[in-house]
Amino acid sequence: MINTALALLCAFSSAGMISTDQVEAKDVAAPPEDILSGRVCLPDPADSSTSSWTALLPHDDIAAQLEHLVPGPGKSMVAVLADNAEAWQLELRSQPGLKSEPSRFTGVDALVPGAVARTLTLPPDADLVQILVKDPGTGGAGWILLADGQDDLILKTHLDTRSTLLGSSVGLHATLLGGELLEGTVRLRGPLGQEQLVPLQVDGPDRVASFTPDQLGDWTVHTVVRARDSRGIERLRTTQQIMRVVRPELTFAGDVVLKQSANGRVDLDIPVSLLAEDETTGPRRVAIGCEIWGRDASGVEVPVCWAARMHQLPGNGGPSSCSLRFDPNWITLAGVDPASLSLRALRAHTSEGFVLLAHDAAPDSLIDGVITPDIASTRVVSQAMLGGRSGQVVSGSTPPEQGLLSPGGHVLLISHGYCTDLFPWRTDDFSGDVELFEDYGANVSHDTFALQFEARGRSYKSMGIAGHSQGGNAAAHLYTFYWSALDWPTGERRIQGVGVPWQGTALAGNAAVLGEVFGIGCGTNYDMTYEASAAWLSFIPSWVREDVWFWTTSFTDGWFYDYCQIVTDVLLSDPDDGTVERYAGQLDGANNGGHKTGWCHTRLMRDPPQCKDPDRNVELSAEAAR
Amino acid sequence: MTLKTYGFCVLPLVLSATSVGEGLDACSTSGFVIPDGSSSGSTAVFEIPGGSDTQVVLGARLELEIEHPWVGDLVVRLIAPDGTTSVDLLDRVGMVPAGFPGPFGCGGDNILASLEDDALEAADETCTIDGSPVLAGSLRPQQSLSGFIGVNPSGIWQLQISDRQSGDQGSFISACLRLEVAPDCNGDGVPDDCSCQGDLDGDGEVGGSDLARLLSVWGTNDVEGDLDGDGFVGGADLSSLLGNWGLCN
Repeated sequence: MINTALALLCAFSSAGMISTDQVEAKDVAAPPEDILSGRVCLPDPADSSTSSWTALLPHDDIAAQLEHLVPGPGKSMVAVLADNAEAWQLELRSQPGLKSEPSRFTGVDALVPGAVARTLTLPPDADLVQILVKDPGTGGAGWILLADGQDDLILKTHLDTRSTLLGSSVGLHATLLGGELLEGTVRLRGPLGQEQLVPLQVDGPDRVASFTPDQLGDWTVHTVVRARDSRGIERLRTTQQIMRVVRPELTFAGDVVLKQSANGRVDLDIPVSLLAEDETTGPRRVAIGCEIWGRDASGVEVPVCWAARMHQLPGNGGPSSCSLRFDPNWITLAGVDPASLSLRALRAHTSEGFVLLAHDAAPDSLIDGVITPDIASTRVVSQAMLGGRSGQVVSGSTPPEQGLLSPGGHVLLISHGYCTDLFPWRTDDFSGDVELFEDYGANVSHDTFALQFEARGRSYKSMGIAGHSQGGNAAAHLYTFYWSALDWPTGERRIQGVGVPWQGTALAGNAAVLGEVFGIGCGTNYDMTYEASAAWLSFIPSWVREDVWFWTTSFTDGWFYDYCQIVTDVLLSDPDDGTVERYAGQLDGANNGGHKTGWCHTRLMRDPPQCKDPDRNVELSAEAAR
Repeated sequence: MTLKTYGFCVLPLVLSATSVGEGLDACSTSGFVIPDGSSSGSTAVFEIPGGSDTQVVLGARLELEIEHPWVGDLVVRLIAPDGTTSVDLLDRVGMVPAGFPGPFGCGGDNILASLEDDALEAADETCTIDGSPVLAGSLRPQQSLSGFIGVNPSGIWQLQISDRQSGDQGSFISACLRLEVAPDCNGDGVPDDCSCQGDLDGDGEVGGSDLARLLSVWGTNDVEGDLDGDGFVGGADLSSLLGNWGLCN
């Protein structure tokens, strides 16, 4: 019997085995259309920039601005974010003809669990207001979030590389829309709390700050600019991002060899050079992907397919190899000469955060006898071609003397998302075989979350997943990269997600910065940043997306100052659900179940939590594949 | 139609058995529901009638059709008429601790396959995510059908089908047992050239020297002289020798 329990490993070693040793990685493939559409191509870092029309700063750094503030026509709000926000004074100084509601307390669990802010909304388009903010004198750190209503003055920032590697230079690019960027600084705070300030320098149309990270881990990148809007009024704008710095664990190290494997599939043997595992190393898994191209009968280069796989790296360093594998039927379908095959966009990413470790736009390759099947035998793309099963290489093992396994049914697994203290779904709305996934207070990557789903699925023949928030990302990740009970359900909808940050959320970066104020809470989650989400999505092919149904919600939009959560609202682009913007909750190529107003991301927001919507929940339950 | 009970379930069966050259076929075409989540299961039977000559099995294959939404639930075992010789044809195909197909075996639908030893693909390694029937064509069984070589084919063959995991139920549709057989005149499990029974000295002729040799072991349990395999050299053996007197064919 063939035992492929070690299938996660690169072929060379069984060292470095982790608790996921029984997990079997898929030989993922995507059709040529996914290459041509850019779906499995790594997007430009500028395409996942962070935008902000607000300023988040320590009180001392923004106090002067609050003394003489000219609100713009949009939403205007000031929030004090402090451990002891209740003790802070926040009010609009009495001015003739100006009325304001008193400041209020609000929980900002969406940013930091348990954190409280004092907030004050401002009258729009007032000529000039003075805001009194006074700390209680107890020495607690206080930060101010200022949304000044000039929402067309927008700061956009992005890192110029997806390879944020220890000791390698990184540039932060800043551009300002709707005004003039006067000056700016990037405040970097390393994982050990060390800070450095780097001024933004003029670089063509952009301002750029360059720096070289010298610590592994998550850095907060806080860009602060002074800008002048179209009316000539000076304003502050900031963005808050996370930068994950990793070791260059893997580099590509030679020609890739394409050869036919014993089971008839085509192997890409990729030489790599590895750093040895050390105490700073996280999960030694990497996602490797590559485009395969060939020349058709008229000599034109056309895409054949895209291949990818999650690999477990061994603990030892030095020369080694990893492999990708694809079905030769792709070559037949593309109508290309096997001798003309070439590779493009070979890349390796960390499994957590999808930081780019290595990239080769056009790797050299050698072809060692690839035979394609008879063209008449292949007319359609089969699931086996997409997920790596040809029907000839399935592992098998003699089962134990059969006792009846338990429970072993077909279930719908309903899951919460990131950092949850209560189960979000109204379980009474679900019927049939339903199981709950509960891991409260957890802050894990999509990969770890997915592997937890996988482990849970071993108790069932098959499962569908309805995930809230990050639970949706994790389900799609599992279905893409690993074999599990999620591959076997029957029924309409394999993966259903509500309020899923498919394209990330600005709150990930903001929460990281506010960790300085409130402590780490559940900790930063780099996977849910815009940057990491874009890199992750470039590994999610169409066939996975076609099995995903998603829904978004937002606050009830009336005539007043509306929001789901008054603080996070100004950190997100409207409409949003208090955590996920409507646009960022879209998964291109998936099934859009619709957008509904009057529902917010979680409890403690202005409208009811989206997972309590009985109409949708009943639908999720009824339509779920199990 | 006959109604038979074989210790598992009471099943209606339609049986037929025909001798085709050196082959014997027996089919069971009356379907039944396979009890879900039961280690005992149900049994289909094939009756191979006994002929004038004793026979021995040289080879076997089973053509099997089952409708089941999760074929990894199934254990299929074929038992020879002697009641002790058995071969596990399918044993929860695709069961692995995790990964693919998974800890509950292959989740594909249906079986329409010929289980035979010389098939290129093993049934246990054939599962696909989207094939239906998922076990199709010519497949190697879990255990080799060579386990039946040498058994007497005559009598009732039992095909035990059990569904070891609850939650998915299926039905047995039909099965045909194809046996390759040869004469075994002396019942020792080894094929014999029965037309020359009595040619004890192997000279191609049943004659006086053979008669003398048989008489020399008269009344004993000599294996060579015991032509009918009853454990005793006696009148029946003498009668058989005389019946074949002359040149062998």
